Amino acid sequence: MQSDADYAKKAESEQKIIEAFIAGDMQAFKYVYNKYRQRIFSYCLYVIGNKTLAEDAFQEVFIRIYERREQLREARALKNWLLLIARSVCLNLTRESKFTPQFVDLHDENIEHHELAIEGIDHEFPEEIFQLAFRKIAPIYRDAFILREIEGFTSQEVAELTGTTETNVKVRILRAKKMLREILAPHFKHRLDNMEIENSSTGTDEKKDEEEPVPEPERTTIKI
Amino acid sequence: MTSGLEDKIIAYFDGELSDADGAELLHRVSVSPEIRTLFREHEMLREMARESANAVTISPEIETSLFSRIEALAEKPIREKAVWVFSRRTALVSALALILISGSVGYLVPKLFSGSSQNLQNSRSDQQNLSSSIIQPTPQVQSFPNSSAFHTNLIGISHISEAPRNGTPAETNDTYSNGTEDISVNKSDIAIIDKTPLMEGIHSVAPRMADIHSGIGERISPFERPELQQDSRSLFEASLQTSSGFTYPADASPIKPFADQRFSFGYHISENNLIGIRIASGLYQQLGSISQSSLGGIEVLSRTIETKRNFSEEIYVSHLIPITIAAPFFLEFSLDGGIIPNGYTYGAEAGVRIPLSESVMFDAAFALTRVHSNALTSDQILTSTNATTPILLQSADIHNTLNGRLHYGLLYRF
Repeated sequence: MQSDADYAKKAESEQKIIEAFIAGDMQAFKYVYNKYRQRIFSYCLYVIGNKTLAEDAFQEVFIRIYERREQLREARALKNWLLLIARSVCLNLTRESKFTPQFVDLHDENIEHHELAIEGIDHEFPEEIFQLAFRKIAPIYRDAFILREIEGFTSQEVAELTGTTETNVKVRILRAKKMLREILAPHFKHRLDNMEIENSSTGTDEKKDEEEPVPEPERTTIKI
Repeated sequence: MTSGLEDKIIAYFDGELSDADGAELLHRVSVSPEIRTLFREHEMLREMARESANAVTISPEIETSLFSRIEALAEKPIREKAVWVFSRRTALVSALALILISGSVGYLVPKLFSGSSQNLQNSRSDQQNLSSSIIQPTPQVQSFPNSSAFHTNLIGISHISEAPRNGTPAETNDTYSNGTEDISVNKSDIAIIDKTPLMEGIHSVAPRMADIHSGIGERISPFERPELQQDSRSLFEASLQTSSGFTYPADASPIKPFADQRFSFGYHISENNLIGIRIASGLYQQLGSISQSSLGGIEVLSRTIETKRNFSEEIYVSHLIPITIAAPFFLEFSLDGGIIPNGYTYGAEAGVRIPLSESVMFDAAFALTRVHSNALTSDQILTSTNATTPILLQSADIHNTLNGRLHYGLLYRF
């Protein structure tokens, strides 16, 4: 079996790989899988918010990709088509599943600090912290945030993928970022404090932030 | 700290801030520890999101399971997709092919049978010559086997067999020979014949082409369109039809038997052109009403495309082309348009009418109809709402659908 690099070189262009994939070539399928598996799985994981369900969704996505590869002829771009399928699978699974992440109601004026706090936080594992924080925001914000910030789609592309307007996408991403920053504020403070300590211990402190202590972020009310 | 400042920081990281605004923001970041902290938090959030996504690992068991399923799928023979005559594309292509073939056959068959038409013309000439030979008296001497036969052949009426022979010198004008003897015909005898009561009122007339029926066995091209059919004198017609078909793009299943029923009433402006009105009960794919729910504080507005049975009122115009291939029938082409609740329709159809009796016909036509739904667009919904909370609109923005229907039923002319 050739490596993906060799295979890609031999196939000369991704278009030829796509054609081979549509024709049912398993090597081409593996190339597509290896190239996009990380993106697809992280998308599933962050949208669904549950690893077991995300693994089920991940398998289902690639099964569908294989089964519906003929549709790729009409798709504009491979990446968009893959994410479209992933999105469809994940949203369906989220609807059908009894698993409902305890995301925070962004519009609750009486939101308490403890609702935003991440329980059992371990600063040594920022990935886990981020996943926990991410579960606390509503699915539509997660969806827009992942597609834009992690998958690297433009706002226009996200709007097309999610069937909404570009303005709506931008608003969702803005709110997701504010919410995540709010939730992750204790972790960020911890990291900033550590950085300051490291800087002062190495003597490279440039006397930043000496004048005023970093204020506690406002968390009681989130204006939308 | 204002929310506007945080928006600017986010816009800065998204690359959506102008150079001037970016420079101003960076200046504020440099002078204010509070803003600097916020700036750094967003910077860290950005890095954290990307690092977290890259740190996600897929367990080998999942990959093994996935590939075993994929390989099982790959080993399955690919099933040939069933060709269903009423699938969306097939139905359209079939209808067009049917019309094209009908037209071609109607055009080519007369050409192929043009030899038969020539024979018919020849037989018409023979008929005309025969009539002339009967009517015209033959003045010259002809040979006949016997005199009685002569009389019969001469006049064609057997009861006039002998001229009177009562001793009156006959005015001999014409002499005929039967081969053994010469026979003289007295002109006064002819006069007697003319005065015979049985012959009164019978005049010799020249044959007319119109009296010779030329339609028997003759194939006529629809493109030549001779007006052979006599006016039926039926000014009105009524028909009742049902249909099967599809809706594109919102159809869940390709076949909806007896989807529509329609009653049409037409008035013949001329024999082959009519205008009419139609009332139909049909299935239409239209956008449904908006349902509202709340999901995590987000107002979710949902709207789907639904199959609805509605009544429509339409007007139509039709043109008929009479055609005879083995049996007489009509090609029918129509345009129609009408209204439905919360929308309108317009379309075209082509079909055939097969006479079952003088007044009743079987009528089948394939119709393509565009159905427009007047529902609000997503943008209109979003701009018209006064909600203070974020809105998630889940809507299939399909305002136009295409119905393909094969209508069939009976038609009565009166």
